[in-house]
Amino acid sequence: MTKYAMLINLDTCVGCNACMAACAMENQTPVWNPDKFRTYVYDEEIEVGDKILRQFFPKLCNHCDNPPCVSVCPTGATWKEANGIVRVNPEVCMGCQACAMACPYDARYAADRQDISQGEAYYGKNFLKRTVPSIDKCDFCYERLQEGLQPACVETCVAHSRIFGDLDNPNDLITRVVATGKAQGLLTELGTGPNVYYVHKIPEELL
Amino acid sequence: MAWQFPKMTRRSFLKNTSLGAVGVTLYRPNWIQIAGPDHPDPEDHFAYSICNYCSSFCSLRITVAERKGKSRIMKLGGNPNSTLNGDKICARGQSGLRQVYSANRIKTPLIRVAGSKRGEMKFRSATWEEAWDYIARKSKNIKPWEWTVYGGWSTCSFYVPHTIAFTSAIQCPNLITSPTQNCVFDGHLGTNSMTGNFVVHGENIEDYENSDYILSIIGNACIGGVSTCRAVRFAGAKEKGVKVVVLDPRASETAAKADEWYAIKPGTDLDFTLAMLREMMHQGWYDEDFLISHSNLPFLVRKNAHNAWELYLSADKEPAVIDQHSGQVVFLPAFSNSNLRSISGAAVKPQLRAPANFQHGGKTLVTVFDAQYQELEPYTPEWAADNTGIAAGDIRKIAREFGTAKSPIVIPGWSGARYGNIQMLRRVQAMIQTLKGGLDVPGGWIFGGDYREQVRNMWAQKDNPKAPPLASLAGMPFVYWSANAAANPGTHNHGYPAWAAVHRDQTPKDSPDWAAFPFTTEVGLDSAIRGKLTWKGAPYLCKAILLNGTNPMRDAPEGFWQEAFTHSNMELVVVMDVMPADTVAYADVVLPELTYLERDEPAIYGNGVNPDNMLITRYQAVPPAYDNVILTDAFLKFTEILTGSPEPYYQSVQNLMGIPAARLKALTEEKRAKGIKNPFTMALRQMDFEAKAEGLGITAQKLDVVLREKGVYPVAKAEELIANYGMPRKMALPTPSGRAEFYSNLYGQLREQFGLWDSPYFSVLATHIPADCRPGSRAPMADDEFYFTFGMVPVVSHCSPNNDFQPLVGISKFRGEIYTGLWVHSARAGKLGLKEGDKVWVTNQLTQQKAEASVHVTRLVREDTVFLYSGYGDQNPALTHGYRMGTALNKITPNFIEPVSGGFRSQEFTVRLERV
Amino acid sequence: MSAVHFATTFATQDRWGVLVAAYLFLGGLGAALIALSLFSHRYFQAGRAITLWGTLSGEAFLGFGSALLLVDLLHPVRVWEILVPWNVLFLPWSWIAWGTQFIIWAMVFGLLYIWPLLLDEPWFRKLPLAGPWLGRWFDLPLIRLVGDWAGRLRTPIAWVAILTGIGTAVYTGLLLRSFPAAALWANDLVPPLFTVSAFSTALAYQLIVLYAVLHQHGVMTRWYERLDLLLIAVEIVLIFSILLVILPGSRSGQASLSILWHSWGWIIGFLGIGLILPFVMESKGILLGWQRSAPVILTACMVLFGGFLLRHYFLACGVYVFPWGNAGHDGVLGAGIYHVLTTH
Repeated sequence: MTKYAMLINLDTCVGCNACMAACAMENQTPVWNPDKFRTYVYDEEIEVGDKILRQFFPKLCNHCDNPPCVSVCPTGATWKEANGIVRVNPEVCMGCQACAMACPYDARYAADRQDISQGEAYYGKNFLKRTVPSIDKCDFCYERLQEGLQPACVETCVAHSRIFGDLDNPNDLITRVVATGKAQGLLTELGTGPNVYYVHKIPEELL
Repeated sequence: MAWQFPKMTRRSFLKNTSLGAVGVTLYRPNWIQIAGPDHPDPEDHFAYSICNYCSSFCSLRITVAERKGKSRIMKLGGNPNSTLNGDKICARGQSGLRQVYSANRIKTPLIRVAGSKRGEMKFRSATWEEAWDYIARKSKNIKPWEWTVYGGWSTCSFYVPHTIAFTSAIQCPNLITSPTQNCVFDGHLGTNSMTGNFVVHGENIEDYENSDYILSIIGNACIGGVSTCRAVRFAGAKEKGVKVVVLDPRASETAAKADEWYAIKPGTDLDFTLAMLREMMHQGWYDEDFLISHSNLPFLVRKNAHNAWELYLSADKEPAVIDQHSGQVVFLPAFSNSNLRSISGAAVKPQLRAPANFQHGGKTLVTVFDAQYQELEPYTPEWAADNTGIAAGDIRKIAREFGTAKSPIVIPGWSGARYGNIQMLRRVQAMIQTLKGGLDVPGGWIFGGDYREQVRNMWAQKDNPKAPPLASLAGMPFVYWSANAAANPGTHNHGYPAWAAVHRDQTPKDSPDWAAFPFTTEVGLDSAIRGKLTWKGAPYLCKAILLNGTNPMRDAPEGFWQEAFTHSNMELVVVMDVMPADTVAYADVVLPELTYLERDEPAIYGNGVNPDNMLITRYQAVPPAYDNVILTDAFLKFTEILTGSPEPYYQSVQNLMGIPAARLKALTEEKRAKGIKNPFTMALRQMDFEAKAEGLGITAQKLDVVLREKGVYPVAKAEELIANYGMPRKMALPTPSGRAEFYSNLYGQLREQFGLWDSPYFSVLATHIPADCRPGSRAPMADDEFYFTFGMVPVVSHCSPNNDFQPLVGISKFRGEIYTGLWVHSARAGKLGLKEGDKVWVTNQLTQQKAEASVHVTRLVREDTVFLYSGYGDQNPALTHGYRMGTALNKITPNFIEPVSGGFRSQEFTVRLERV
Repeated sequence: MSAVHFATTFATQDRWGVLVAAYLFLGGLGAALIALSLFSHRYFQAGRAITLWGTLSGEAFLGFGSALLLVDLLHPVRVWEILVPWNVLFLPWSWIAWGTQFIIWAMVFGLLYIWPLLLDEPWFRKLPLAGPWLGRWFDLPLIRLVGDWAGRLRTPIAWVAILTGIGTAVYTGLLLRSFPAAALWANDLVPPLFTVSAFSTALAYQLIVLYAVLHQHGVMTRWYERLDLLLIAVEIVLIFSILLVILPGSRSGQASLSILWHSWGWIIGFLGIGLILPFVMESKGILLGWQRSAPVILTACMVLFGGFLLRHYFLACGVYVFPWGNAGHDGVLGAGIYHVLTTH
């Protein structure tokens, strides 16, 4: 089987935001609204011992094992694929936004009617990927995966900070990193079972 | 689909690494070329191009879709076939397709509405005929030397030769390129004085991946700015556990990746570096074999009549060393990459240090090493600690860790015109790098594959008097040729040299606007415009200016250009651009330039700083949306307007670039007759395809096929290039002596030419130049006074209005005041009652220039320093998305320059903050 | 190798704002009204007038509340997907799916129950639009058959409406319960709280009708008052359990508390006017009685006011605790619009 997941190496992310731009262009998100990216890179001040340091923190949908967004959906517009990806079908979604409320990771946003009409002018009427208003979120670039490509953010990540892989493949780099126990998901205490893992540094022997 | 992971484990890496081992070191991480199939969706196709948004020149693969008879660029990405950046590009690169589809793009020629003033964005659409006609009428009475050509993005990227040929064709001695002294000449000149290199877009890339210690001093652009080709290699290094040490008054992106970040006091980086150099020389942390063989450290020097160090030369200007075997003084060839053979061919092993009180010919001689050692005496770690705020123990530690590392790298830096002493800083950095022999070796500075080829060609053509200069000169020799041509009254028939040279000669050397070597800068332009210059008794005015893809209203001190454009002597301002940058508002006539994604290039280029030599060009991804011009065709038309015929341009292209004029002209006419747009550019392209293909031993068709399918044509691998042509181990560096120059002949020549024997700026050796942000004042800083620093943000390109692209605007708005605000330390902000988002006036205490800024309260900056990301603050309302976002940095940039290259001392002042 | 370091952001949301708060309020109120009215009619000899008032008001509130929600949807036309009854078979975990069915069937069966009553109402037949048109319709054999059966199957019909009505009220709480990120929502006291509140507001509404419109002060009126007092007491216990026991146990909860205890609208508006004052007033009314109906009506209005505020504050004050944040940044945060309270 396949279980897609992502590993984020915080040691190398340089905060260039290429991933944000790549995702936006690939998935034609409403870039005129800064609230409506599918992924973000946060620019943090963190305290490490007695030092204050700067850290860049990429965040996206975690494609949870136990996704609260899927259970609340009344139309079946969102579901979890066998390969682990949580997707949205815009044709079915009525846009009640319960899924966005349920998501603990702020991973979903509303693409409304105005975004669609603005998208026609911005992305070109015949080239628009999203033609109906709905909730939108990261889908690990599902269509690119079908073509044997990586998600847009992973492909462009200049620092090899976003690493994509298959947790069902024991030889996959991210599987081996996760197996060390040194990678963690976010808000795991909520029981969502996130599949985006964060690591402070990838052990050199695994690379 | 299985992803490929680097097969090289750490163990195998260690086993394989040895200097000179060929075919093992990759010079790039494996994971930059992971992109999957070579074909897109059946409905889509790929086009290959080169990114336009910084001088990293990332190779692009463009996904183009066809629907209902229309094609559209859907996505930009890196080209996995290029070993420069693989399938990676940055946020600006990703957003680049918005340049094609921006509603704010300049679509047609524009002519200023009658009655409006320069600075007002008031234009009417015009046809090309009207625009050319307007220019023809307005330029009728303007003499060739009264023109200034200001080449920006397009020129800077690939059109330097075409632009120089153009100035030659129209007999214009005045060329400015932007943003030269800030970007690639000031700081870089310091580095290049050691290596002799010069390329507008970086001559070296650092082999981070094979380094074990990386030191970054006052610079973020290489890594965090972001430079994709460097960032990928840096990340590869981080994965391998490299130690990273960063000196920066604020937590830059690079500092965020550091193992140790030292918040050094602004302006004191040179103090640190001098102490580090001293420590390394004292402790013997250098590669003696390399230095005695390939640098001029063992050359003998003595004090001259001006009490300045000078090389001890033979009558034929040959340098001397002390041979270790014989203890005798031996002369070496004046130009060579090696010190191991004397002028008679005998084997020599130079001594790095002279015996005490060594006498020869009645003079006391010491080696350059000895002289530099002496000069560094006062610059102890304790002295540096006092100035920098970094503990002496830490300075010693850094020097030791760097000095004893196997392959340390000090990042050479980019875009460094901050203080008067930045050039000396970069020189000393280059010395530190070269002390360890870290030039053109794994884990060191690696020179670009294409650039190395140009140098090799230069040496091959050295004795060919007919070699076209723009096709046979590289590095500093090219700069000297160009600077000399500009300064030489005999270059043009009219006998006028560049106003830059006249200004230099007619301005007192101690004047604040004097520079010795202002290579394609605007130093002196204000004098020319104001009518302060004379040549042979007649006034030498600048009356007209042609700018392409450059934005001095936003990237140079604002007041300077405000005056230049609006001065009553300025009769004609022609601006060529893609977007309505702030400078466009000052034009009389605006010519729309074709975007990089919509055009075929006039030539095939090297792959930027890629250590592999790969050929690359641009292929038009989609048909042009509008009737826009490519720079080279604009130049041809300008030549016709200004001289009466296009002929001079064909001729100068032949003379300077070596492209046969007759065939070029015939092809141009042929394409024009067929209705092909920009026919001159297409003719140049065809001829370059033919020439390059011939050089490779293949047909032009085959070259085209490969470039269309893969986007790059691999010529040679870094491993073999370095093994065979490594500089200086295998091939001479383009310095005057061919060696790595610790004793700088560049500065030696300048100081002699201008008699500046006492100025530390023109010292042939490393010496101290203090940065003085508060000249003449010893008083403590006021409660609301700070040092001022600025830096590059990874979502805006320097002076380019790509911060009008909505993805980038969105990201900047998301980051809020972190990106668009002024960083103030929380302790100081607290005392001043300032909170996040509060508006303040920032006033330059030296000039009283002021700008409004939003406060970002943070602990990531020194308490005595404020920081601002540059690139924001567009003032042209036609840039509807980026308009007035953030602060325009250049509103407080003073017009103070350093005396060598005219670099702006753009943060050598303090500011005071006042709530709005 | 060190652990991952996290920053923290506390954020509320305004995706579900006033429209949804109104829907939750009107939905709970309307559904409880239908359940209460039918139950009272079947088992408490409630008069036809109060039954019709309660049921028809309930239908109107449910309908109007749902319409408000429809307006708030991104793509309203797709709502038909959840109107079909088999939807819950495919998506049994979705409270909205269940709730929609509950609302539909509560409305349908509530109407069916009062259909025979309506037919006897002269004003019904004389309705401007409905009258002439419906009149013809009424006499159709099929319709008369339905009306016939509605008359005969009154008890089962009533129970369907009552149970789905209760279900609707419970669903409004379960809906919030299913959002795990905010402590204010994701606790087991929320469904009972919302259910109790719904019925409390329904009782309050009926008391207003009884006192102000119908001027009936009989036995059932008394029972309603007592029941409302009981429900308000339960509500007070539930609310304070949430505030004092549940919320302090997590960072999200503590953040919610921080907002609530700094909000006059919550303290005075909800706790004071919406809960405590009605409790006091109704206690007085039951123990000592009121001379006039004005205090009772006023108290009931306060209960209704409190019912809306409860849902508004719950939506507005649920706090997400994110393990990230832009330094010192107080504005735009991410997908959805978040009001950041503090960043660390």
